Amino acid sequence: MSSGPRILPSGPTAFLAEYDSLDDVMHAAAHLQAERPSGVIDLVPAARTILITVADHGDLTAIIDWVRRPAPVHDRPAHEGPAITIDVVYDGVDLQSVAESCGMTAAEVIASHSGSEYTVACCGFTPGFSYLVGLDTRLHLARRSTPRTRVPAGAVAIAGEFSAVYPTEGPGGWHLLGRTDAVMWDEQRSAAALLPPGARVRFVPR
Amino acid sequence: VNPSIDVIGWGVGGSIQDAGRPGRAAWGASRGGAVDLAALALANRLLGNPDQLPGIESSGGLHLRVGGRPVMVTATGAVAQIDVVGGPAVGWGAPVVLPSGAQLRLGRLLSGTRAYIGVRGGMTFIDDERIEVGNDPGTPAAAEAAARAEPPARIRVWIGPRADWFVDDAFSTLTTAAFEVSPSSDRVGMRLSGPPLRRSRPDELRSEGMVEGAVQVPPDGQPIVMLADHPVTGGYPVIAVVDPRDLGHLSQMPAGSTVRFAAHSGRARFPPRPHDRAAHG
Repeated sequence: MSSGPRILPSGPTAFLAEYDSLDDVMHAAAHLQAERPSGVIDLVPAARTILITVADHGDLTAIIDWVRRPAPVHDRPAHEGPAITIDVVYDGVDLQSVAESCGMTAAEVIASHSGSEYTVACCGFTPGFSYLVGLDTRLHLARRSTPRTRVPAGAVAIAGEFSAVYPTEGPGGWHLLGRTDAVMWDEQRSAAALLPPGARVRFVPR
Repeated sequence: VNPSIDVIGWGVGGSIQDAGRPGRAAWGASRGGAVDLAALALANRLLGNPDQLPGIESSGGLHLRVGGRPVMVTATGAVAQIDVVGGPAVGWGAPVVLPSGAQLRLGRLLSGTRAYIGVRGGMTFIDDERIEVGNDPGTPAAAEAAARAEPPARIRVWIGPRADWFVDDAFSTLTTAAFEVSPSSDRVGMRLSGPPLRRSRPDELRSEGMVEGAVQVPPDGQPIVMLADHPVTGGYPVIAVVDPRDLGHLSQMPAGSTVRFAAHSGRARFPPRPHDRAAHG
């Protein structure tokens, strides 16, 4: 039986909780997010860790105890986040090369990418860039060997075990399958990120 | 109608910054806002404003003209050459009322990296040429000028979450050697050069959350201190974290200056556990 995550202090008011797998992180993050106590400023899931930052007035000891308490095994709140549908035009510049690398046709790549349900594991890279897990293992590809200097906003892409939508124009090394008009990041929205950790996502071909 | 200020020139790094928006790291966004939060807060306190109201962050070359109504301003952060035409002098840390039409030129910085111009009531960006001043806060401005806090001789650091990814003496190198501020520092991070902080583990760290003040070490061993616009996650190990109380002072050290760190000597609030590393070294 696990004794809970390893706690790695990160300055006087923050710590990393380290887990054994991305699955464990997602499970713990969903659970912690659902019963987040006051005094927690940020709860940032990543590949193997969750960063927790605590307000100056927060009770750090109590919050560490809260993080260490194992999440109940029976509930899987990671799969009960908001469900979001993203319309995609599958005309990405890498669609054909992805199909070739995976030994599939372009139509099969589209069917596979749009046929899975994804869950947001974490965000990073730039505001509103969400890492989605749930990609068909047949589509797991290493990043492009040479990143592009310019990937357009709304590009729907894959790399490794993840899919993502580029929120803004910028450099990027992922394989581009298509594009969407969905706005990933909007400062004017109360929740600026369209796809926060825990959200469930489906891509629908247009 | 609220008072306004015309912006004749924004100069270097001229921008309106508030205290930023903590709490959005899970969405990939760092705090943003003023790099030297303490300097912005001081400007606001001198003016009778709440601490987090927006002011102008400037690294020199800022040129303003007061609109149709007088406004109270003050300057904090880096000491700058400030010339006023058509109004009283604006010194560091003293609230001053500038009459309609007065022009304020913030020239070069005499110390530090970022000066802050606060306005009583705070401000809103209207367009590149105009700022609107906010409502009067109703609380009195400071009667006297503030005293400048001396920067600490050494910047306090806490041992970081991945200090065990480095050779044994790396943290002590960080806290004893002299580091020089690199000119490629910006709002994202402060780059330092000094004796390389060598890693004991060659493997790649999976990206993980970083706090403001985190001292991240890329493979070249030259540390980078995360500032207001830092990426929320990073894939290089964090050897130390700058104490939040010293981060503003550190951010004001210009390129070429020497930084010395000291291990934080206070007790961490982290409870010890047998299988955890000590909270500080």
